[in-house]
Amino acid sequence: MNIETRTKGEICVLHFEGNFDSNTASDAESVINELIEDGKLKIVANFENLNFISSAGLRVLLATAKRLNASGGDLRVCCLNQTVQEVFDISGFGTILTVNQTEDEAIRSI
Amino acid sequence: MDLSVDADVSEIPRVTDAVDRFGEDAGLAAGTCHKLSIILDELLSNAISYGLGGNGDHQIDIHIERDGERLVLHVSDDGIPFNPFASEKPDTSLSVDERPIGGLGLLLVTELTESQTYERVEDRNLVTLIMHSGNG
Repeated sequence: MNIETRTKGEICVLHFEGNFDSNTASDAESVINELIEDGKLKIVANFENLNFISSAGLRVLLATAKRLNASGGDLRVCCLNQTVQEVFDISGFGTILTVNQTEDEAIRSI
Repeated sequence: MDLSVDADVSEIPRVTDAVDRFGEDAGLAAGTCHKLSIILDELLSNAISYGLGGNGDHQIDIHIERDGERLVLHVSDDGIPFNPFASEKPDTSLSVDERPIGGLGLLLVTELTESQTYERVEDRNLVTLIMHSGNG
């Protein structure tokens, strides 16, 4: 999986590309944790080019949301494909995380 | 599709590639292939963490075939007896702060498939799953 980071003011937009699975989750967690340690507390995860997410990826999202909540930050997730949306529906992540249809909407509302 | 992999998460890309090739040959939608990859990621990471004790010397065998509108998956390993479907389902209604980390993998497997069977056959764990081939 490839993660491209773009900074827009105080907001960090992460573009995920590939598969968010048990093989890629720890690298993704390192990328996100570095951003948080760097004081980037408003994070938008753009999943437009993500094929799928497994529970290993969900764990990283939940840990990130917990960390950001605890430090006054916020996490938005946007642009889910049908498979990722189904995983969010099954796991309840569609209601515990804030999901936006578009990146613009996520950036405007964070 | 038949594939044997080491009990290590670094094998996941090989599994995903094989699933994509199988899906192409079997005429499956991309979404169906992605669901197969999720299911295998969950079963493998689970077997590696529990039944095989993180020991990469073990092999996990994967077999997938298309039977009309159904896909039949068999995943087997030679770890200690471990029934992945015996664990409790997580509470998916809890908030971010209340929600414990983990426990979602087998919920995904159960919800993405029509049926799930665990058997202990000749000192091997054998998981058999049936899913629709067309729910891309």
